[in-house]
Amino acid sequence: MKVKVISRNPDDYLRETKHDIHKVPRNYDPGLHPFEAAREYTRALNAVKLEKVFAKPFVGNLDGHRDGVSCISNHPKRLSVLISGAYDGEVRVWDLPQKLCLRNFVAHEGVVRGVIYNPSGNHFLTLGDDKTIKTWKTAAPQFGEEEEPVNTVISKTVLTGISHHVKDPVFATCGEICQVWEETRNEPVRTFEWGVDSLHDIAFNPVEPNLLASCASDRSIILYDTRDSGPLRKVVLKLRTNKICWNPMEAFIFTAANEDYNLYTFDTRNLKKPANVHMDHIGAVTYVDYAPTGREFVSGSYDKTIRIFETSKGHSREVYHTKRMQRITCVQWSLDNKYILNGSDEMNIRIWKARASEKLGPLKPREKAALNYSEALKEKYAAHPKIRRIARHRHVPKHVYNAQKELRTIRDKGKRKDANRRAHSKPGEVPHQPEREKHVLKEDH
Amino acid sequence: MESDTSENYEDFYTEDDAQKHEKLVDKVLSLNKTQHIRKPSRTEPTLQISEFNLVKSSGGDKGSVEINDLTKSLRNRKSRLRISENVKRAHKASHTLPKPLEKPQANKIRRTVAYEKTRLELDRWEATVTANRVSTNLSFPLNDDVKMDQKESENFASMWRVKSKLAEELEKHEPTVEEYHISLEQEEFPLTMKEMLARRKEAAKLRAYQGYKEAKARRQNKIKSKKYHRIQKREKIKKKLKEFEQLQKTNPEEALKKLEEIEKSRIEERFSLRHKSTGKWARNQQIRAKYDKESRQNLAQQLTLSRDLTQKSKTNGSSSEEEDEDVEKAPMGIDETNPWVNGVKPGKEVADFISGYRKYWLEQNKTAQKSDVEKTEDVLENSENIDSNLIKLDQPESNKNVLLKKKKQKIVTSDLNFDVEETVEKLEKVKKVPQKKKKQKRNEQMNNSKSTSEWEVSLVENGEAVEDMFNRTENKLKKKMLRNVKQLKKKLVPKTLAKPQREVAKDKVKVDLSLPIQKKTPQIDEALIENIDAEIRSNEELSNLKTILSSQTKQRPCDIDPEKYLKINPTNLATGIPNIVTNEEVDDQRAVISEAFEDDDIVEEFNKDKSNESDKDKPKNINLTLPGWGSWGGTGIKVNKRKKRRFTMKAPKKIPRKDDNKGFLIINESAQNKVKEHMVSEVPFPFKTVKDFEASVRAPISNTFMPETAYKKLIKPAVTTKMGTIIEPMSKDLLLNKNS
Repeated sequence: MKVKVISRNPDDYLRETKHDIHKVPRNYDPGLHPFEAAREYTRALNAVKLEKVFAKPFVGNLDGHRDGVSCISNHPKRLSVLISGAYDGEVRVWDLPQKLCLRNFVAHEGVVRGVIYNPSGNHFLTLGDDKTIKTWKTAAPQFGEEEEPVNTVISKTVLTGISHHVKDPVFATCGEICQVWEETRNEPVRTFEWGVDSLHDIAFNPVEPNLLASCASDRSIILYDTRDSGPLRKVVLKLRTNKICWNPMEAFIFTAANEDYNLYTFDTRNLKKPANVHMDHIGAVTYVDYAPTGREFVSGSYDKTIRIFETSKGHSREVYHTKRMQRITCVQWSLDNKYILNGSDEMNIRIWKARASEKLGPLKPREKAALNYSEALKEKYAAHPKIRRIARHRHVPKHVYNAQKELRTIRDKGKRKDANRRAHSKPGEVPHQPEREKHVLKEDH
Repeated sequence: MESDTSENYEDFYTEDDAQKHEKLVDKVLSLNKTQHIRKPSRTEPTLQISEFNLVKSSGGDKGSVEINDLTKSLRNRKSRLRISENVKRAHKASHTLPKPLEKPQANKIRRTVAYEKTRLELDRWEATVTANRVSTNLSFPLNDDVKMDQKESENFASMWRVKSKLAEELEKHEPTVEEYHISLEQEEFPLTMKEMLARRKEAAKLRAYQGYKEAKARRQNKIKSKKYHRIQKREKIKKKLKEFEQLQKTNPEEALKKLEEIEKSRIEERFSLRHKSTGKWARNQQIRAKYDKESRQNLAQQLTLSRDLTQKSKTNGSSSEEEDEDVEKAPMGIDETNPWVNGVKPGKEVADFISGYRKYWLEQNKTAQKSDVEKTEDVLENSENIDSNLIKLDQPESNKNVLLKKKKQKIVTSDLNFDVEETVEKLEKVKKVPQKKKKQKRNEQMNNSKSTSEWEVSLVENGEAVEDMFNRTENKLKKKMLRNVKQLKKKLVPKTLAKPQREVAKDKVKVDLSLPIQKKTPQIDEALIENIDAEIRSNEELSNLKTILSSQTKQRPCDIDPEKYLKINPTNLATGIPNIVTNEEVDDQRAVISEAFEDDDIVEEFNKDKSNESDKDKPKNINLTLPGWGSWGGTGIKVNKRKKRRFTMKAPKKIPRKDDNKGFLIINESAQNKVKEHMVSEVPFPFKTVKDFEASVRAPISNTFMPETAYKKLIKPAVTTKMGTIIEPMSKDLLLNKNS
């Protein structure tokens, strides 16, 4: 009798393991590798193509709000907790990994203007259009207990924004005036006024916590010192600044999201002109937040896109959008530098990866090395046209594309006009004005 | 009277009906129709205390205590005498504080002081920040301090573990001691005595600075004296001039701006009509002028000033020396009593300014001249010494000459464009005369000195002549000053466009701590290539054709003789590879080849190939007719000829090719295209030369071509983060220099 025995080569069905990689003596003499440049270039090309293949930045969506999301805030000690406020006065606490709403309650009458955790993370403060500042416990109420604020402060003035000191139990609010509060007291510790216009955003410097910056509706950015002296200086730009964010790693740098579609990075020590102008948005920039590494920042705009900028560069490295995402109201970079969270007008909070093609979860050392290698290759060959084209190619919605085209023609026209004027006037009469010097109107003492 | 009544009432009423009593008092008081201001009392602690509620305690209120009363009671006792004396002294020494500055002004001062301080504070971070920016690989979180909180996470898992009965029993017997983690913040010591003192000192310093500024502002605000303000203005002008001068040296562009500013101020002064005779004051003066000499003078002064202001532009416009002289001559011989003739010196600020400006330049020139003179004198002294030594030395003259020549060169090359050369020559001439005399004498004496040049140098004996000369040159210089300024203006305008970079460098006051970048990689800072999903590709062919059509218009002139190319000798490229092939060998090979292909008509064949190749690249006509548009379509129906003709895009007949005139050569132009699209067309940003960029790309980084250790170093990412770790903002622990 003939018995058929399955005999297969284990190489065909077994996966390669680390034991199969043998040390091979290699001769690194470049003379023996005439095609090393070509081979590396091909690898770089493949790496950049694969990056595009894996670029799937959208992670998840938190829905539950019944009105547009007005503000969100990270927990200072936990990565998985997020808190959000909406235009109908509702506040929700979210569990990010499970995409679950843990808690929801109506905190204010009218819009919730600001939500912020205190540094220890056991309380959070909300601030609403009803001129109240409410303090809530982070721990959810027990069964049967009602949601009640620990403390409610009724302010005498309208409140529009809040920012918390990094360590101390001190926070600042803005509105008609800038006020500094202590958590344990019901009246502001200090109030600052400079001019009559209202303020709509405020930010504590996380590194030098005595410094405060706020933006006013008279198109200015005002710096304050919380210790004794009060207002320090004022910069007036051409259009209004919507939001301000300090670099968490560079004490003197802050970035302002402006109504004129641009972001301006300022050095506090030299406010005459911005250190950098970041362009690419095609609508008013409504929000900006720095990555905790201080190397990048993310901005949300009225043009329904999120863009990621490198601090030192004038153009964005990434643009995020989805079909259903409407005007962006708030964006946050998660504290582990991995995710970006944004709230938008259409009631959803979206979670994105900070690097679109990054693999999530723990990596094996070999995998990590391979990814690092491809990253290094991409960096090395970044200037090569094919690689550059693939790496920088993005699909954008039609309205963005068209608006960009229009904007480009407008800019070109301006440039052409300047050039013509320069050409046809006495030399030196119409000097070339660099982009960085165009936007600051004046610096007030 | 009120007090009396209230006292009386007090006797009657008990504490219980104090309210009633108060009401009654109020009513009684209201009978007496005068209004009484009562001392307000605060019920709630507030931050903002109204200034209107502050009542002078010495205003007669009974409740207030006066220190004098207290000391009065002490006076009797001898042991306390000193206290009362001290109080008295303090009273005497005290004086009312000055009125505070106007609020906006005071605030401004405070803000500037505070901003400067914070700026200095922020400067401390410069080093840390730059180090981080430059570093090629940073791992976050930056501060690796072991935090107490991390222990919590270790215990976290144990919270969920179900405890066995035994464990519970054990716990009962030995209750675990709860560990209290003290966070680092609380552990921090409060300030030491030394630090506290230092901080206080600093605060005091700051306050003193602010106080000083305020005091100064107050002082200046108070002064009404016109003279003071005039002096102040003059000083300001002087300062401006000094700045202008300095700017001219360091930053010509700014200097130009300043010059324009000065000019502008003059213009403003001019069209303000302040110095005309039409004002009320001027008319009054005119009436008085008949009898009063002083007013006449005043008027005259005014008028001259106005004239001066209007004339300035003229002088500015004309640069010739004669006109300048005229202007200067005019005021010389004038009747002082006649106000309508420009005679009196301008006295007002602007005139001062102008004169100051002039004076300044004069001084400047003088000093330059003086230094020159001093130098020449030094040289002369040297030469004199040499003269005295002449007896011993043989060739002193040449020495001197060299020296003077050097001097001359120096003057010529110095950046002042004045005609100093002339003066030097004149000097030389002046010197020659006595020198000759001396020389003769010397020759008589020694007869052994040699003269190697045409002229010699000696001590100038007639100092007056030189002085005169200098005066003359000075005058000339003075006149040329304006011209120079103008020239400078002209020169600078194009320069300003040329060097914005240097400008920027100058603007930056901060110390540039930037380190050389360790790992240079191309930095691409450009907009993303953003496209909508449906890409437009339909017209690609058409656009191609259009480009071809447009390129055809730029045909190269074909004036190259093909014969020349056939005869041309091969040129050897400058390569390191030795050229082994000799001519004989080549000839041999040719013979062999010709023998082998004797029968074939190679030339014919080659031409055929070439024409085929060129045909291949030729653009074809594109037929754009759409069958069925405006006519019937379908099988068997021919498209109208007229239509065909109309909608066909005709390709150009001949497109110039690279190998057109190269005889026996076919160049495949499209062969390069495939490689071309992979090649970098321009040097990317941080690199400055092609060589640099090539060097950065040349070395491989992969482990197939590199040892493992090098590979690991090369692929290290710029930023590494720990998974699930919160990156906190930079803390002051990372500050390199915490004290400053």
